Amino acid sequence: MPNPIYIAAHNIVSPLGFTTAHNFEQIVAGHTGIKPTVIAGAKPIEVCASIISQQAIDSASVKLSNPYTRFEKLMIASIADAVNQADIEATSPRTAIVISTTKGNIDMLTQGAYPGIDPKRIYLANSAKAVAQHFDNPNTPIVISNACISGVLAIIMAARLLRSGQYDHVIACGGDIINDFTASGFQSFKALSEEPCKPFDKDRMGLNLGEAFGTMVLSAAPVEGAVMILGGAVSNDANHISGPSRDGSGLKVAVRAAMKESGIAPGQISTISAHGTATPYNDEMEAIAFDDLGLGKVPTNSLKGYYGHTLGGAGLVESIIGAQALKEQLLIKTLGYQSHGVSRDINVIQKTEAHQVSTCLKTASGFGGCNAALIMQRP
Amino acid sequence: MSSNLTISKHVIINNAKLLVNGATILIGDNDTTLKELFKVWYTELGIEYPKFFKMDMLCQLAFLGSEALLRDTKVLNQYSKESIAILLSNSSASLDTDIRYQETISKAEGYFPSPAVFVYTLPSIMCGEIAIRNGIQGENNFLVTDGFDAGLLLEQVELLFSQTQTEVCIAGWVQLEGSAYKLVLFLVEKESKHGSVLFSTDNLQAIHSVK
Repeated sequence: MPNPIYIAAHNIVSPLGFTTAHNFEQIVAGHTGIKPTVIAGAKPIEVCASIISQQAIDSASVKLSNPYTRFEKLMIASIADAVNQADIEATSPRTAIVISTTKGNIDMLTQGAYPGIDPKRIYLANSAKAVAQHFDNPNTPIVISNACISGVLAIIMAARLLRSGQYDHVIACGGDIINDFTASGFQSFKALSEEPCKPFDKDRMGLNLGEAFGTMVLSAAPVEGAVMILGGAVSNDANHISGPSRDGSGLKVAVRAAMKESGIAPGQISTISAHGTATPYNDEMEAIAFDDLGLGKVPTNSLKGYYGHTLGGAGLVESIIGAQALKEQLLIKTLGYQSHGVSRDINVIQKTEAHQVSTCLKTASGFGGCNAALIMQRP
Repeated sequence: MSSNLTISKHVIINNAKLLVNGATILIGDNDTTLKELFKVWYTELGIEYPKFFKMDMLCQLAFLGSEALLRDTKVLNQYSKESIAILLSNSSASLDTDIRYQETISKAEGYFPSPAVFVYTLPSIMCGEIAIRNGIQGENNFLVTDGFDAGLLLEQVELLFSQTQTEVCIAGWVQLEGSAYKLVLFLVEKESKHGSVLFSTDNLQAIHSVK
């Protein structure tokens, strides 16, 4: 079995707060960032979404001396807090930065969006470099853009890089901004719910979009009291580019490989943080995969009812909440869920309460048929 | 830098030419549109796969490269579908299609966001298309870099071989922006075969810089 990797520090920036502590408090209290919102554009889009207020971004960015985009400001705010807590040298050549995003500065495609910023920052590598330079990190940041599994994949890649011995620390940060580009696209797929989403529920109508940025500082050397990454894996359904496989076979490949790497049997998984987008097909596919893997009785949540689907941020943000729940020995309820709505057994958590939990399975699936699975354990 | 792995085959698509292991297999007319060029090559390669015509130009480019790379190999028979990895990269992600999609939503009149276009606003769809075509279920990732980054490619492919169930990897660069395009795909395996070259940054760089 490979060595565990330690989550030395973490941050979440979302409408629920700009630190993990604030976010976790709000989630335990059952609060959500999702509300009726109008997404501006040539044709304003009325939806329910979880959007970070401009005021909050401005006040977090007052000390920045260079001009940055909305996406970059949120990345910087999230990384800065995590790095501060971890007490690591972001300037060290032994610290790498991995960034996960699906669309980066997509709002730069709107005419005149950022007059003071080099339009070449629409290229993800340039935007990532601007963020890395803010922290005086000497390495070229690695940019992952693998649809909705990007965030989980960033953690998996960070763990692999650390195990290879090239780095002492990896800063993994993920997120996406939501604008009319993304909202109209998901709307064109008829994937958006007009109400707050209902993961795994029989009346689920689709997903809500959300903005949340998450950062993990990961360490190869043991960190006292830190939750560990035991293993992770990625797979593809090889089925359809815009819909999940009906039988969950791709997700099962990823979960099995992650369990094997972690030396964990299905019976040792104490809780699952699912992708749970609340679209009819995704939730059904996940329920089939978990049940087939012998995980149908394991307490499972989706955090989409608190954050919406945060795309490139989802894997990081949801893994951080999962790690925090392991630390605090809590099960977190699936906000929006009321009644069983999938064809298989799935133990959807309905009440946030104290519970003995040692090992968490985090999964994600996305367009292009990609799946990722990650296993975390409390010390 | 080098590794114990080998490049058993490579494909280049550039300047209206498709090369396999350095030999020119297809030559197109530089003056035709990309759409026409790719359609001609699709026919010349004898492919029958109607989904090809739904793809955007970037995915068509990746698809043609992967077909040329995998044909006449035993990859799909020799390896289990979970042990075949796909690792692609480029510098402009899906920007070409992003711009096209943005145009469909930029005016209230003529506002028509199309799901068929939107799905191609993710560069990783290339991995998905190749996986679907060939039944590949292994590790897959898409990385965005400033330019072709041989060092990163070497490092990431090595991580896949040393830490995952990967036994063979389709790796490389698929870039398309406007009328400019370039594809370089490598088939990376553990065992050296006749004609294999060492999987090293020098060899990656040399193959990528072929005009």
